[in-house]
Amino acid sequence: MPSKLDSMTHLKNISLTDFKSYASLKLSFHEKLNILVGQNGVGKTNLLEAIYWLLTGKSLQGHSERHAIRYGSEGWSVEGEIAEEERLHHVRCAFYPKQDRKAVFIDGSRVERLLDYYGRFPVVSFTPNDIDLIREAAEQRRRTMDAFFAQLSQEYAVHLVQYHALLRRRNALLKQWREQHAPDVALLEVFHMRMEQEAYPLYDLRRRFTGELNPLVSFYYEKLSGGKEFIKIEYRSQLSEASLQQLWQESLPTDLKMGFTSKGIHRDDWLLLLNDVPMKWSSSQGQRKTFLVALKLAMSDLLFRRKQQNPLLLLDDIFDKLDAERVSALLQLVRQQRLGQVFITDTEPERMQRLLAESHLPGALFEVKQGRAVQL
Amino acid sequence: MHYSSKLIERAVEEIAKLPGIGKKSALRIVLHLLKQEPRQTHQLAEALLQLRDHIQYCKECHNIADEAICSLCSDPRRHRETICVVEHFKDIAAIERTGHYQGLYHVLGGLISPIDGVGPQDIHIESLLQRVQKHKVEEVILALSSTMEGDTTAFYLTKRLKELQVKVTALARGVPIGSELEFTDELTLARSLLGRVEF
Repeated sequence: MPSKLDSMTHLKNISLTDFKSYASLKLSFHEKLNILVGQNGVGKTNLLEAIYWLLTGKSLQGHSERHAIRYGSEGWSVEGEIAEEERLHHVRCAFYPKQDRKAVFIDGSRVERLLDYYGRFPVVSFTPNDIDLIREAAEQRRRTMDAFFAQLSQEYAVHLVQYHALLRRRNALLKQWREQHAPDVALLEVFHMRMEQEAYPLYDLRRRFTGELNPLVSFYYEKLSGGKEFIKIEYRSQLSEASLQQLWQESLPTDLKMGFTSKGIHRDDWLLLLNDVPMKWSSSQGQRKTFLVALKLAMSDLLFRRKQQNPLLLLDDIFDKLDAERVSALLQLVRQQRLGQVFITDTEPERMQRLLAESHLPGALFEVKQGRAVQL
Repeated sequence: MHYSSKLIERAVEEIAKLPGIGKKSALRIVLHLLKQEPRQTHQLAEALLQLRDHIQYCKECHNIADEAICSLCSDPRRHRETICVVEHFKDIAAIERTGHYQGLYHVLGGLISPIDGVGPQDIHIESLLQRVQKHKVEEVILALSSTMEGDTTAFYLTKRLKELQVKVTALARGVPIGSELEFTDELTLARSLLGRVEF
């Protein structure tokens, strides 16, 4: 009889060609926990980046395809086998700009619309840059939430892409009208009508998904920190106060002057509250990191609940600034089946070896050196 | 590439400017022409010159024409109360091949595309509105591409045409004939479900 772990979606192996610092690399992974250790700058994050490209067709850090080409080579490819229930899929993501656009293949056949691939193999990542979610302006939070919701729901992904395509066109119109003639009201109304059709479903889904995410974030925050604090994510949208038609009517004079659309669903934000105070003002580094880890675990959990599929979890440099208690709480959570396959990077091999031994977790340890990686 | 003759070099260069023709193919064409009777090259050059100097755009529908009014607009058998709006004159050929349309056409010569700086005033929209007003047009059929620019143009035209109280229809969108349902993308399938018809 197959064990429970066998039915979990996981990446069995990966093979990189001319990807970033790797000329050629083949690795087989453990189905539950994989720990990549090595000093800073040896290419641990590059490996996570390769996994992310393979699973989503997109960049983990929002970089272009070109950015991942190994210096002096023509392009790159990442391929691997993904076990899903009883089936094994061969997946390949390749970018050779002289011959073709970026392409993703599942079991030999090319994915026609990459939008259809995104979310096929759910993945949640944590990178040191995520601290910007708390520190920086709304754009970071929107990007993270959009990327996550688009994995949860293809409907969301389609509306999001359409809305932004229409927004770019509306902005182009505003710019032209600023330089040339009076606005064509009929054309503006066409754009407003079509943008409304995309914006309201996005608004509803954002409210719904944020509502579903909240209890999970609280749950994981409590598990990691031992309780005591109250965490909340609050969705903020101009659409709660006025209709899009009203917003655009009011802002048209300003928009025409500035040459872009100052109001709409693309200005939404999420407020991150710790004991009812924005975390930006009042949280310690440890609290921030704990919150972010809780958020990512909650995202992973929600993906599992909605898609009945275990997302892969990529945790880059996670133990920095987390105390020993929280680290062991995290590893206990990893033990749970619904957290799926996990990849963790760290700079200290001894710490990881000790943690693995103490937590009795099944897993594999890899040592990453310049352009190479070996299982220890 | 270096040729022994400046004449060949020049001919090759000119032909290679055409879409889809590289220098090698251009050279093949040039050598082919040289093997043929001189008369044939003269005929080709003459045909091209005639085409360039005498081609016209129909004053009514903007289709490519030999006269001021194209052969479709001047054909008395065509139904004059229906106008089918297309982007290019190439689209007319596609619809004509179906043999299921007897009305007139209107060629926009492009689509509204803010990103490329193409606005309603840059394509033949005003003349369409005038045609609808001037003649007794009962129905305008929008036969535009199912892209963001095609849809924008269709919505804009509908808005402008509704003011003139004319019936506006658009081509049906759905599952391609002979294709398997499971391979149809979700957007097309969703749209086909919404626009399903009684069987």
